[in-house]
Amino acid sequence: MTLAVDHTQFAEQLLTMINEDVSLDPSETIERETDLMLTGLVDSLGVVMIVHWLEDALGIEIEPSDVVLEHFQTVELMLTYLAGRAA
Amino acid sequence: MHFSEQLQRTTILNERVLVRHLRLGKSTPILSTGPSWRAPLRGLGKAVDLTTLLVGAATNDRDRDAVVGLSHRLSWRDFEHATAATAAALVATGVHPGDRVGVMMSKDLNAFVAVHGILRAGAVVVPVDPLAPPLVAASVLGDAGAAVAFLDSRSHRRLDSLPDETDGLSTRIVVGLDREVAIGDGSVIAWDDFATRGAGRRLPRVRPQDPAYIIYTSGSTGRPKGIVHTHASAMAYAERAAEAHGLSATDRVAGMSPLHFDMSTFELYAAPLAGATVVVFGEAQLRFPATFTARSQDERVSVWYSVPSLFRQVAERGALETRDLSDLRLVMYGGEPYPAGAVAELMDALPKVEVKNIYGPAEVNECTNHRLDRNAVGKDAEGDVPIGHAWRDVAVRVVADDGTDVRAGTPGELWISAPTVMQGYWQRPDLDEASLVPRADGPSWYRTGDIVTANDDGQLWFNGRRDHQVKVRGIRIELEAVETVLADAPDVLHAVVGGLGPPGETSHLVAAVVLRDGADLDADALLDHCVRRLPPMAVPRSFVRKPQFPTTPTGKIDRKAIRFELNTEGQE
Repeated sequence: MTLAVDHTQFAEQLLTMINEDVSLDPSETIERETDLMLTGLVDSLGVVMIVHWLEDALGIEIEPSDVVLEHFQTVELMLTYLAGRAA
Repeated sequence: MHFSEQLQRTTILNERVLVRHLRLGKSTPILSTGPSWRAPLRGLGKAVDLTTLLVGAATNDRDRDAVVGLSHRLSWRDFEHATAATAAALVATGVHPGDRVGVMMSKDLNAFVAVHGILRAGAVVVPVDPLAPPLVAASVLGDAGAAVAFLDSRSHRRLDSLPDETDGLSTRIVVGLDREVAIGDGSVIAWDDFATRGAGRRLPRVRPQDPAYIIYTSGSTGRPKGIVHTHASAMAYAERAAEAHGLSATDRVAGMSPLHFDMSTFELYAAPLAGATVVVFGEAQLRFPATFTARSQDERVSVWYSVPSLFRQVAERGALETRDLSDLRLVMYGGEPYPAGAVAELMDALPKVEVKNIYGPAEVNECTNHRLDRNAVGKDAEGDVPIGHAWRDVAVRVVADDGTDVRAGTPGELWISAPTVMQGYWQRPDLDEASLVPRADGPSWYRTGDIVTANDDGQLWFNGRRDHQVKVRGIRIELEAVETVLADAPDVLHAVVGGLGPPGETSHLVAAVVLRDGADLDADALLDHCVRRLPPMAVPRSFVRKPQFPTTPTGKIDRKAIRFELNTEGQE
């Protein structure tokens, strides 16, 4: 899997996409540790958008059973999940 | 205006309407009536109003779970104690019977304690969407005249961002935060300090006719519209729901509905009446179908009740084949139609679960339900799922535009008279007059604004909203009916249909669809699907694909917004 090529750059791209296309509150800047769910920044449509973006960007398929709060609550958790898949 | 004056005025107004109505001397034939009150409800608590709801279970099952929160759980005894302390503290804070108290909190144990605490203080619960834009939240709290509100830090931050002179926001006392902050010049009481301040206070007695809660919906003019339910109408619902759906102390009900959404009355009132446990699902958990099913499995949930759009996501992305949901016995859906083919898919994934379609506007809670037949649903292309038969003590009329009852098989507006019908709209005698029609020998008729068709047995089918009808070159079309057909096409997950052209001058219909993962838009196939099933004027002329539809704060598809967008895009 191609994720580990440039971890930081990938994280930046993901953050940019979430901030620009997914976030419901443009006044708040989302960072790696921001809780996307408790703050109401991302709705269920946003979750689907993130999953699709990750699948396209990495050329992978994310199983529905993996799309859970523990893996998507923050960008950091998404990266941990993706790194775990690669291992 | 003082509350009791308002109540009086409303009563006088209702009497005036009644007199006028009686002068017409018209009889009101009843098309069908649900089964009447049989023996007292069995196996349920002896509560007479919502203030005594928790006492029964707290006596019988003191150590069992009452509410399972996101990180903690409350036994019935602790739940009963916490709500009693909260009620006493509200009394000590100066809240009088009939005062409105806001609850704008993420759903967790504190919100449940707040709701039942307010009721036991004789005050009126006003749930507010914790994710509502600040101005919307302020207009609800302002319209209700809630001087006291339970907020969490997130909703407090939202309200505090408003300028001090925001119109209507009269909330001055805030409960529930863990630190000292204030709205304007008001005061804040921390949650932990709050519960202790009412020691020794007596709680007031409530009467069945006293208001218990106000659910706000966005009125068509933008001004919020408060639906007032009394202890009597709410208890009437709780009793019937517990009985009709066989709730018992062994049930574990998924708490899936936002508190400002009328479906939450099932978990707030019907569940405790039966001594059933509520397992709370947070907003975040509901955004992940696979998280939702995992928690349902781990907490051995037995009842789900939500909107079809959520269940369609659960069927699609809930990883159901990997979950052990053997405790799940009942899935109920309502709030919007669930296409037969899609609901059949959910039933295939949950082979042992009973599935029911629940119908009832917030003004009456539930009034009809239909148990889906596993062998029939989705097998017959013609068959929409009915909304079913009226449950006990409900009288039903299906009424034509001229006020006369229509024959079976002819669509008309559904009127309901039942003990669960609301008292009226909060301080809106104009709306009361438009929607409540006094009935000499029973509770007022509520005009639902929903178009239904009945068969000879009194089985009802939902055709659409009266105000969602469009006329395409003179032919009256229910947009929902077209959407239901379209949403049953292969690869279509959700569909919204709108008219093109200014109101009243619809030239043709257009459709937006969300497709299943991996499917491509095949407009010819969709057209063919519609042509075979719909009259020519009801067939959409064009189809747009959307990645997902926006949803309303209560989780339903935001059809209004999508239709507006379709109309705007179509004219460019």
